[in-house]
Amino acid sequence: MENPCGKLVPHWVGFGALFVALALPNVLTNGIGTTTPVRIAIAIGLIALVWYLARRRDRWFQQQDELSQRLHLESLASAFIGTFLLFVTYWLLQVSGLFPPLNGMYFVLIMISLRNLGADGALQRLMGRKASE
Amino acid sequence: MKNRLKVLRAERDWSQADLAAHLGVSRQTANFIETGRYDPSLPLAFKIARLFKMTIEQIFEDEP
Repeated sequence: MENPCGKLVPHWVGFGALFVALALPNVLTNGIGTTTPVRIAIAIGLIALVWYLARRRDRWFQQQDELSQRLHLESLASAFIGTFLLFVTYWLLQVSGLFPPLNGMYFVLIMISLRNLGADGALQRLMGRKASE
Repeated sequence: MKNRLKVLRAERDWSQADLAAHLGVSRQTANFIETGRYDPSLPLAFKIARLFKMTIEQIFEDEP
């Protein structure tokens, strides 16, 4: 049976709504930052590049066989949970005053590293399963 | 899950790469299925059964 939710609310609408929910309160509270057209153009260029890479990765995923897709999904789950735990731990220690504020770029680097570790871990788990002859 | 893929493949003189090509999966996936490390999805199990002109039960055997 086809999922009707996809027709009612396309993914891009949901994504746009979430972005507005993220940005609007912040802009209303703090105002628009000081910027220049060049910096905005560079940012838009980088956003387009990131979206292109993400779309390309999605197409790659769709072309993989089921074992590769499973390994990829397991690694993403590891990355999500691992990143969440690491950053909650850091954030709580930051709130306690022990650590300085963290640059958001670390979030991306940690997530990519954990994804790769997760992929390796998922493969090792499968390799470790008892082979039946 | 036990299976007879190694025997069936040997009867046809196929390599794991040949089997993988027939099934449209990677050689790693064919290897993991054959050695029982990975249980295929139902659609892939049906595809394997169709390839060898057998039923799923004739190829795969559940291990309690």
